[in-house]
Amino acid sequence: MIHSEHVLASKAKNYFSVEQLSVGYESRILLADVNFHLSKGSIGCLLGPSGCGKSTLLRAIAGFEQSLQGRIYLDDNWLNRPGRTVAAEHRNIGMVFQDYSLFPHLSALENVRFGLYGLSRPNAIAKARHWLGQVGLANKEKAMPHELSGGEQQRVALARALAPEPELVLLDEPFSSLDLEFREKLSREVRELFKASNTTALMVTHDQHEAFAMADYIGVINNNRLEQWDDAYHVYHQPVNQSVADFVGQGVFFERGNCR
Amino acid sequence: MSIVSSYGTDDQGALAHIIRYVLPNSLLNSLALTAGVCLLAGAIGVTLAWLTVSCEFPLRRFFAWVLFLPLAVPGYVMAFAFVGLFEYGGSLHSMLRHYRADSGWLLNVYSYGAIVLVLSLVLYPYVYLLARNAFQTLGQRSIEVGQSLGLSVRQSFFKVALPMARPWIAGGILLVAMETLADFGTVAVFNYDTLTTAIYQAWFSLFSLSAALKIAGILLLLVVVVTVLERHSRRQRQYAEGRNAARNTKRLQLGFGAQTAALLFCSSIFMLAFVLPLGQLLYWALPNLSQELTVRFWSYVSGTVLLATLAMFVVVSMAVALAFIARQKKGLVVTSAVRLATLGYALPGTVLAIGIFVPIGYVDHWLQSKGLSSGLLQGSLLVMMMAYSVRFLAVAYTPLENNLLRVTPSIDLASQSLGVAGMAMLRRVHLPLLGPGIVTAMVLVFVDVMKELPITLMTRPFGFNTLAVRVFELTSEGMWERAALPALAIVVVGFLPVYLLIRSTEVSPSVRASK
Repeated sequence: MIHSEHVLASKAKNYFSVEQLSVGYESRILLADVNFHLSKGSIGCLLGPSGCGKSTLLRAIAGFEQSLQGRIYLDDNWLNRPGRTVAAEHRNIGMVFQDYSLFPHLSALENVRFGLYGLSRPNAIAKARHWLGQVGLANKEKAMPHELSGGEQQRVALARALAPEPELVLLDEPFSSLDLEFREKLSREVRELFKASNTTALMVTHDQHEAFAMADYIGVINNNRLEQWDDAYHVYHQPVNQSVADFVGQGVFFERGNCR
Repeated sequence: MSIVSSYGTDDQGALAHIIRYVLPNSLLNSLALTAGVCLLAGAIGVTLAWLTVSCEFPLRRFFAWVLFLPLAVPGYVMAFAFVGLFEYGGSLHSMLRHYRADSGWLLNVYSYGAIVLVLSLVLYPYVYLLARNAFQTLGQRSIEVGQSLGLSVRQSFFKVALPMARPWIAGGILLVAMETLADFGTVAVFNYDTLTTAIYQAWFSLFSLSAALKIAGILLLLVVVVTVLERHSRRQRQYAEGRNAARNTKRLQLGFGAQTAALLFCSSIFMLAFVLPLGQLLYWALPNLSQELTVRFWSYVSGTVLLATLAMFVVVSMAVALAFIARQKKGLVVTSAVRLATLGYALPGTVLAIGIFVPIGYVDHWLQSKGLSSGLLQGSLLVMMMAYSVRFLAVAYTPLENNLLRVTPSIDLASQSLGVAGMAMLRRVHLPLLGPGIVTAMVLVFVDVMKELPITLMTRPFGFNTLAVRVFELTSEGMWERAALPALAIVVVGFLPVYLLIRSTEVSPSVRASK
């Protein structure tokens, strides 16, 4: 693991960190010794080819899967330590699934409201409305999931994950089932939404375009390990080895000083 | 199992009588009846499906869905309504005589042909349903392919669509065969001896359980053959299951003559299978309504409702448990257990009734030897529930399974990541998603138990009566006028599942319009 200086400098105010984490099965370790961290409000992206174990890593962070070893730390809490793990439903981590997984029996608004059970009914509805408006679907409250287009379902899934104001949002290949053209537009919008709400997010993808369009920090996964974790600029301009350079080189780097 | 093991025991006198006189005749009758009904119901079902899917004629949409309605009429009801219609001195004879027309040409209602006709009119909807499915999905597509290769619509139907639909048609006909072999009520009305009535007689007239078991064994063998064939046809049609119907359907434009013929055929089947029998029932029931709506009638209704409600809860809870187990654990053992549990639908009620009675008899005997009162289990609701569960578990399981397929594993994870897990997830996600399936399953089981005759008749506690049993008792004494009211009650409730079916196959005009 090689960190450039400014990443190390910010380590003191780590909000979310993964330390020496290994995931996979006893018989076959998918990813070993993964270390990275994110500060509050930043967006990270794990980039790697299909089947490299990045989705398993995301599921381990969400709590759907046991990690083999290592620790996860989020906002002053250990999520898993040897002998003790926090159940997925108590981690306060939101997730956007690859297939969106909207509840088919609930309308768009009710889907967003699902996680707001701690609030009174009017408050929950008002808040769900707010988030549905944030993703630009204020006019689709009553629509059922099957009546929405793929992009609209994606936005509902996003609003549903954001509404309970989780400490971290995970996105598993969030744009992979959308049209290429639409993908870029939506990824820009989602980035702006995260920045506006100071949301900390971690996504995984195999698409370099998506990674560079969305993320502040990018990790490149290859050969069963995290080969580089750095800000987007450094991953692109100073890849640590040839395989990172090969993988990232196919991507396009967006200059976006004006976005922050 | 008890049926198979019966081949060791013996019970000479009655057995010899049955094997010499009853068995050959009833076996032949069963086979002849099954063959005849399969042919006629198959022909009616396929023709109607072809007309309503692939041809254009006036009232096509109307017929497309009303032709499902005969499903609501149980065979034994259709049977005695037909006897009333066609019997010498019955409604049609009198009507023709009234207009001084010759009535000699009318169907002889106690002939083999009449029984085949009645059963075919009750059972053709199975073929109709499956053939419609086939023509609507792969049929339309294949017609387009045929047209692109230079065939006309008519040619491509006969050269491509019909041969491709063969597994569906075969599946429908095999269901008809299963139902015909299992039928007890219809043939009983006509006093036509088949294997099912032989089982009943051996038990209730000759009191020979071992003879009944042996006949049941033969019937079981026939049913197993049909079931294996049916499973086979189901596998053959798996490749095209789940495709959507083509959007713009290409239909054959019929000429004036052909349109008239199509209209005539559809309406005569609809008249024969639905309007006339129902009219006959009303004609009998209405004048005596005040006399028949007595306390006794309501006691049959409450008996029926009690029994069907109880069975509904028992069977549907078992099916829900089975569905969740099958979802949690996917393995060969669980899959085969589910398949075995849902195979009971193929068992004729008569076979099932005595198959369950024998082991229960042993248990009772054992209990008695332990000093408990005798007949504790025999003829109790518990035995009925066991028999119903075996017979109707598949009915309840299928809609649940279809609904549970919608709950993908990541839906569970989505709920967990929003902080909803365990019982809260069951309440807020699983049950609402299963809800429609549970309601459908409850309706289907309720109505099936209400219509069910042989199991209820043979295992009910002494003095316990339902509408179906009442209809059977009255018709076996030839008191058709009085049987009409309970029969009507059964038919009316029976419309519910037919409505659900029509809605799910989306042939009803109202569903089309709302899309």
